[in-house]
Amino acid sequence: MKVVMLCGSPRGAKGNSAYLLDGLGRLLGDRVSCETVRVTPGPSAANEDTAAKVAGCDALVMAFPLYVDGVPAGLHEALARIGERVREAGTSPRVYAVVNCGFFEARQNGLAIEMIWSWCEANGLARGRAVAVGGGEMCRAAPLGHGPAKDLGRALAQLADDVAAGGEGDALCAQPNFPRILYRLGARFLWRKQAKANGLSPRALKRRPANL
Amino acid sequence: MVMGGVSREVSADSERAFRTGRSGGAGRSGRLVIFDAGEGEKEAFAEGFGPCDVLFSATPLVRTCTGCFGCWTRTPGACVLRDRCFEVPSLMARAEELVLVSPVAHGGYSRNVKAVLERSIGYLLPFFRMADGEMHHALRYPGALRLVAHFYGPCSAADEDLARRLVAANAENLGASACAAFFHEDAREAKEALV
Repeated sequence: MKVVMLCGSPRGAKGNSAYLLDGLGRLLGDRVSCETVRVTPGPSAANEDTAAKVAGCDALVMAFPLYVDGVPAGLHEALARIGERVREAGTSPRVYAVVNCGFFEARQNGLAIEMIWSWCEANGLARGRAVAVGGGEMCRAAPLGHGPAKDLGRALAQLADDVAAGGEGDALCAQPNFPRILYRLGARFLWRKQAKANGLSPRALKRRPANL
Repeated sequence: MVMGGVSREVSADSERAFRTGRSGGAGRSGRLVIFDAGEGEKEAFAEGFGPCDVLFSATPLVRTCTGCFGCWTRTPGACVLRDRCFEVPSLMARAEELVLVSPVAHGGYSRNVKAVLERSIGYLLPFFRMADGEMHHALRYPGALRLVAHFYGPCSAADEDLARRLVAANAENLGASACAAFFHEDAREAKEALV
């Protein structure tokens, strides 16, 4: 069973998408043969290579962050190339998706997941399962399956079983096992800390360059 | 862990809300039209708009967002990439209505329009607010936009439904007072609806 893992985050190896794919890879273990690839926002040999690999694989697992309620623009090019190559090859790899957002509610990823299914249908790829992840950086607050990442660990374990078995199913929502109000306050603290590290006062974060 | 579908519901009939919604105030006026009329169609599309309209062509493709959060924590309210797109959040802050013209792509915007929207999140603050039990970003600017999307090109009924829900979700995230989505055969028909 050949699996291509596609990291669709512009933040690359530093991002939550790469972290989630890494965790999923460990859950898959040696049940499948896995290769992880990254996308480039524009046309590139790397995207062509990725598309060829996907056309010849059994399962594609993509992870990406939610940008403006949808799929990041930087992932569109790679998806277009993959669609073309899969149609040419006449294959039908099964698609799995892990979509993460900074909002607490995992369900806010729902539209992006539907867009991926629409893309699958248009290009003849088979629909597997998606995991919607809420709570941004909280996914790294504890090892998968523990503490705030307890439900996330369970959802990814289910996804790993599906990928290994070629299964499909409804989307799973995983959000932090942590109070939402504390997440919101924690985010506030972290943004202010980030501003300070950049030499800005907390007040400066609310600047209005449009002069209104 | 919640199992089952994750589709969003549209809170109200978006077009009715559009007709009754209040927007503007706080120094806002006119329309900001972000359009993708296809490569090479930029000039032809831009002809005939009035003095109250600010036009921003999504072609050629702007640099895509790098996910650095600089528009929130380094140069608040503006993207750190200094190409023609960096001023778009300010243009949004001055507009009464944000109009998006895009081919429909799998129930969403084209890559070009999406790239502009992603470069514009400095319009919002990094902090969160709660609305209808959901977390959204707090608003940087006073007043509110109306969001109007004109999609064009071939589109299945399912994709049209998805695109309508996308526009409603975008409107909620932008703190818009109202939203509407329209579907056209081609870019010319979309333009006729605007001028």
